[in-house]
Amino acid sequence: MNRFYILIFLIFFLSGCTAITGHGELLNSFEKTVEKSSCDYSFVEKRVEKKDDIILWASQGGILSRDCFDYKKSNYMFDQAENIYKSDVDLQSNFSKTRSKTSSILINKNINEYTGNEYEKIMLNTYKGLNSMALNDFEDARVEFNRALDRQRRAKEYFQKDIIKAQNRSKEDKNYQKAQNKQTQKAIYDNYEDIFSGFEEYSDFVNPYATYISSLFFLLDKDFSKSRDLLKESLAMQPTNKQIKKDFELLDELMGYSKNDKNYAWIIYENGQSMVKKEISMSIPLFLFTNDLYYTTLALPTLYERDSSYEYIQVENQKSVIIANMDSVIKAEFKKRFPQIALEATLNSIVKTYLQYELNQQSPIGGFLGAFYQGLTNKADIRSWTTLPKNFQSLRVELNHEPIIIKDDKNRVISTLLVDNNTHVLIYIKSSSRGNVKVHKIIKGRR
Amino acid sequence: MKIVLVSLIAIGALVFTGCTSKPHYVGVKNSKDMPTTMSIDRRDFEKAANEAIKDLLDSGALDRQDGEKYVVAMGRMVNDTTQKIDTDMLIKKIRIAMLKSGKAVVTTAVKAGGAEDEMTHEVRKLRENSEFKQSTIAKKGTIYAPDMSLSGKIMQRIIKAGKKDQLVEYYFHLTLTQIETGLAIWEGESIVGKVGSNDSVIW
Repeated sequence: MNRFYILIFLIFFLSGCTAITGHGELLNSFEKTVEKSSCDYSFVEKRVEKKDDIILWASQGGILSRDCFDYKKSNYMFDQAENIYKSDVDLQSNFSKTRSKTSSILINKNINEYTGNEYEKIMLNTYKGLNSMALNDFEDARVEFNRALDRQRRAKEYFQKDIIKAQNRSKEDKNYQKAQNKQTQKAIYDNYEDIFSGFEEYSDFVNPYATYISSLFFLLDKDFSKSRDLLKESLAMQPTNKQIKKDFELLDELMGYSKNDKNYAWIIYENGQSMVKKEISMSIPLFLFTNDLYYTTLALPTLYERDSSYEYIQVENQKSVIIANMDSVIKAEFKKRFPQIALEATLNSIVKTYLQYELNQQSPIGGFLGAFYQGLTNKADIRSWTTLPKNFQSLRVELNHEPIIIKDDKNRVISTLLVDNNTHVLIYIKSSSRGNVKVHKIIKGRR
Repeated sequence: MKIVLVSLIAIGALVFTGCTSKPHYVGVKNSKDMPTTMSIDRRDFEKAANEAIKDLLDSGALDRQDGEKYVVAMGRMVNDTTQKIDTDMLIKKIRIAMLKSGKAVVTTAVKAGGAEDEMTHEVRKLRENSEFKQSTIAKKGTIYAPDMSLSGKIMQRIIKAGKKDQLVEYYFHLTLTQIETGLAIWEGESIVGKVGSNDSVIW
């Protein structure tokens, strides 16, 4: 049993204190930086420099600098996250997966490097594309939107096959049957009934925004045929969406099926703040010993909603329409990943309960230490990209040489913009909360 | 003991490197002097350029009855892939071959997105600048307007192949447009296919 103490000491020593504290404090500190809108990058830069969860902090930094209109810095940040996705996450061998799993079963998931979600990979390239557009680099923007679409294709494959493979690997664990006990499972899933039901799940885990905004890019780049194909995909996903339908019809006109030489402004609106994770504790029954029912406390991540900003924005009494609900995208992926998260946390709890039992058999102090250790490391992994919006909306107006007056849902003017009428334009508005509005650089289409 | 150790290392290497397939071309024997990657590399540009040049010259599209040469301008070359590549790597080879053929010359004074060599226009801005000997400045009406425009697109298609692999195909499309009529008088297509591991993205 001495080996156990040495092993635990070594793992703790090597993995640092996040095993005990989790990542909540860091995420809260970052939240304060965002609320200040101060364009202070030191917090994220320090984390990235220390190579501490580069994917998470570089992604957060990418949005922070984008919100400060520093599009070049934003892409530099996103590049760092993308490099880790390519070099580590995508290529993670079975060997390293096993290694990280073993240690996380003895401690918890917080000691593993953050590997992101599939929707985060898609959004990362989408934002890089938008940044490149703002920098008037349409060549790079095209590459980034193509990447976002390829990430989308890979996400579909991942959820179809790879995630099932990961679940199958867990079946080899000797405690698998105990963790899958019906009563144990019910005690867990009862806490998630509200989250896992009653929301719009997009087919194949596609993020409709990535497809829609890509189609708008190709439209502005005068690649009407590619734009039309993507809008067709968007429409197939949401056949009743008025804005997508209108844009699809416009594409037919622009492609020459009927004459249209007018120019338009698309106003994209990022509304509110997306769902993020928090920890919940629950008491679950474990059937570890014959005839003995053992209750233990399990800490698991759950999602909670954050506020909307303006419900919609409007121009000339035309309201913006929701293109994609980011909360639904996040929920769908969480729901798909959750069985594995719950299973690993339960296996983790079973191992620690066994250890505590054995230590207790040896001496009361050992038992106390075991219980103390279990309590200390009972921490859920609540990391996620927290600077995404709640939903994405769009509206389109014809350019008529008049200023574009954008109003909020209470009819108050948010911004008045004078735009070039000789080409299509993209206006990008972000509002995380009421009163907090960012109007990004106006993007002109190719002439 | 040494044999056992060497064997163990060899087995270990095999286990940890696994059975992931190395990228290779579809229908082509691998060249040994340069490793193959899933992205577009020098060999792909060379293949596309060589095929395009041969096809273009064989087509007779650049042949003129009066013995004169066509003036070709470079149109837009769209990189529609997931990789940041310099399309000049393809275009430069085609331009060199066109010039070498003696059938066409390339203008650098006009190009999609602005002149390639701005000096042609910059020098003309010196007219009426007393610091410059005016007789040495290019005269008005001396720049050749292009007869043709060469444009193109590099496209990419990625599909999963088998359980662990992905197939990536690159399509190099080139079009020579007669500017006077707006008609495409030559079009060329070259395709490169590669198969490799599906573990990561190809960029």
